Amino acid sequence: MSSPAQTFTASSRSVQAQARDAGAMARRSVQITAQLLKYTLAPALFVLTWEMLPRLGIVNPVFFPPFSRVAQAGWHLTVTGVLPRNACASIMRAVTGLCLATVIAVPLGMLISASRTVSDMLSPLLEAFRNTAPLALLPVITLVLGIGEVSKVTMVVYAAFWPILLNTISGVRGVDPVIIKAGRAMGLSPANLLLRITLPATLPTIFTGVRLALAATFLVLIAAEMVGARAGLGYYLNVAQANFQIPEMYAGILALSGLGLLSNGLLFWAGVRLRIVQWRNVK
Amino acid sequence: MSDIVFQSVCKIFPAVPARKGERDYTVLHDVSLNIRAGEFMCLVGPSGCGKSTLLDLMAGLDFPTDGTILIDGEPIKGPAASRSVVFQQYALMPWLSALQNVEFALEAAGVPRNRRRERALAYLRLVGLSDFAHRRPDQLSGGMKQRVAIARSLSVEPRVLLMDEPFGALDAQTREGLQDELLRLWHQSRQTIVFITHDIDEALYLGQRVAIMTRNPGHIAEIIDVPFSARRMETNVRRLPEFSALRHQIWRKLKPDALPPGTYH
Ligand SMILES: Nc1ncnc2c1ncn2[C@@H]1O[C@H](COP(=O)(O)OP(=O)(O)OP(=O)(O)O)[C@@H](O)[C@H]1O
Ligand SMILES: [Mg+2]
Repeated sequence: MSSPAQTFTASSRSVQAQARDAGAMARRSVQITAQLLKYTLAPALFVLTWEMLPRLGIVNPVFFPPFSRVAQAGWHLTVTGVLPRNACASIMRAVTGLCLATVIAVPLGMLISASRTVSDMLSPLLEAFRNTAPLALLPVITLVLGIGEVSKVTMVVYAAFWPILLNTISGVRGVDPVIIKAGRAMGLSPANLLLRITLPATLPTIFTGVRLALAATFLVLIAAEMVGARAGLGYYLNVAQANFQIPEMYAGILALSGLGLLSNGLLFWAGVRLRIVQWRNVK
Repeated sequence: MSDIVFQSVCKIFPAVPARKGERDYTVLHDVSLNIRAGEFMCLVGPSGCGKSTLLDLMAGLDFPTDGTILIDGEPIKGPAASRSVVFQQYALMPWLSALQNVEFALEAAGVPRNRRRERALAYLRLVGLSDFAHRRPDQLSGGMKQRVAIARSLSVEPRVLLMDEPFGALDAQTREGLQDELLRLWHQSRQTIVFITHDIDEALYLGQRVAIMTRNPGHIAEIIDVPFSARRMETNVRRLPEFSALRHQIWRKLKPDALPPGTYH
């Protein structure tokens, strides 16, 4: 007699639970939609404006073709391999230059900051170099190294080198002296102190330097490719403009900003994966 | 199992030339002290009297301006793995988990790789942090960080353990638990322990002797034998009349620097 009653209450409870689950799911999907809306609204409005202004004749469609024309051109350039080929050329130079700059700047920065006297002595020079816009050196480098790969990569190395070097130096200075002291108390040798304590403690600051360097890399690379090159996104932008392929030119610009976004995201993701940066700390 | 002998040690921090009007600062003046091998010595003194400086000298992290410090008859040449320090500011590596922090010290002390993990976990368990072994320092409370630092120093099983206010950031219960744990370990290993504290009760509870420091300049004012230290395990020595008498004696010696007995900060 008690058994059916129990079954009844049990099943009614499970119905309630299901209803609660369904409610939670509905609320959850509303939340996700709201999030999605929050982040896509501004870009969507931007694209819409871009599409409408030339169509309504508010801006000249010859110089500002609507977004759909640009997208079309972009798609065509992608399937014909023009954009991928040029993007690859730029990426190769950027990656080579950035890696070289990191490999040179980090050890050098550690070395310079190992001695207060050396870093003080070098600091006026470092300041002067840092405040010399890398693009100012473009004519010099083109003069000496021509317009080949070496000259492009050299420009990138130069531009990327300074943020990494300066961040390494200030990172080393910012290391909490008490953890160095702890390392010394454990009997670590000077080399081990540098490799096992100073370097890992400095990594987050170095990482910030590399992200700054990435921005500088693209800036300088595109300019260098515009001055003279046979491939690369900067080169392509110039060619498109000279041939009056306006939608293609905008497609190239979009490809560039996409590349910037992607590389920055990739670098950040790598930093999180390597536990150099933490989500919480950055946000 | 090492004795530490201070022979008229002075420590002067020279003035920074760039700062006008600053004079050389004498932190320690004529400190003579004999810490016996296997002894549990507590050091009490007001803030700024040079306790941490004294500890740095024993650790070999800094050197006296004058006088000598001998360990087992030899002058200290520098840091050694056989002397381990618990720093007042914890000094944990922020990019390593609690477990990795302890393992780091074990590696530095030359403990083979295959024995580090187990030993590190054992000492984290000892300080009650088994469940937090994989947290990084920024995910730990102040008291937890302090316990990781204690586990790290204990784990290398040094002959001399130098502890700078190691229980300062702990609540009363955890503190008393760790005090007893430290005493138990010391009874087993008979390491030489130098233990710095602000807390007179703690010094009397732990130490066989209590060295009282006064400041300006830092100086050992008196060394007190704790008569009931051998009876700690069987009786609650904190209740003994001698305990309060000694506490009062030390407090008067520290006056006007110290807080009245029984007052914590
Ligand atoms: N590197 C240094 N240069 C100059 N003065 C120093 C240096 N280190 C410590 N001092 C000074 O020496 C004095 C003693 O410092 P110390 O850290 O040894 O004190 P303490 O007794 O450990 O104090 P607390 O109980 O607050 O930790 C302080 O007045 C401090 O300003
Ligand atoms: Mg101190």
